[in-house]
Amino acid sequence: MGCCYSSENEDSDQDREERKLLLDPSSPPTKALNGAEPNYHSLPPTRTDEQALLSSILAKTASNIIDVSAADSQGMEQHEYMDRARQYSTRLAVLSSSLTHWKKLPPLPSLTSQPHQVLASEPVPFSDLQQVSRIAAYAYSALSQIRVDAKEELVVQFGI
Amino acid sequence: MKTTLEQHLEDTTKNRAIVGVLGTGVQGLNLGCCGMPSDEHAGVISVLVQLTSDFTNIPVVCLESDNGNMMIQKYDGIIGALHKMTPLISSPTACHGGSMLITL
Repeated sequence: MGCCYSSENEDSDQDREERKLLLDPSSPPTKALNGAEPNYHSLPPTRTDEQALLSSILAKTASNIIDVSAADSQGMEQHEYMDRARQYSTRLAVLSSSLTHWKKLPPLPSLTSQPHQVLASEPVPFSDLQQVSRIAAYAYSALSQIRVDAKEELVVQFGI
Repeated sequence: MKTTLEQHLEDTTKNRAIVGVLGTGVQGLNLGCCGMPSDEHAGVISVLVQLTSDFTNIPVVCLESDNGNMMIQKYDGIIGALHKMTPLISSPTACHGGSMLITL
């Protein structure tokens, strides 16, 4: 499932570019954060494959998580706010100029070059209309079988 | 959970006269497709049905062409589109240009 123009194709370089954060999160913040980030650099040099895999998962999760509770929400100064707004708009302008995927509109298939011949032909059989109604009804009943099956807690605590 | 819907779409296309089938939501989200139309056409098909239906009448939208018909029917939140070849033509022929007819 997805938006009107999404598909099941693999992520292209353009999609990865679109999903990249506008501001580099690895840059040092202007104010100190109150929350403590997990320290995963204290492992001994000789680590097993399991520890390496665990640390890579932790690193990936830490890079994807935005801890809003730890962020200092006192507000930015006016000039910082304007600078960041200008930075965002510049970045958006660069990205929008390179977006060509949305400009291609896929046409519907099976056009005709002789409309009078199609108009003069036999109308659509009623059995076909019944068939499509039957297909839509059965698809609706099949879709009703898709439901959320909760198996575990949604909120977990990270062990620090 | 999705296998029932996918199996239903695949079973529908086993008929030789059927070129493709597609199921989409009222927002144009592709729920499943097999053959032609593809997932890119989900939005257009959804909008066609939305424009032609109201609370009292949900017609079957038919797109007639030289080598087949595409029939689109809305059923309570899901929109099904069926692309079927006309019975007298055994093999599909390419169509170039022209206009698209819509009959209700």
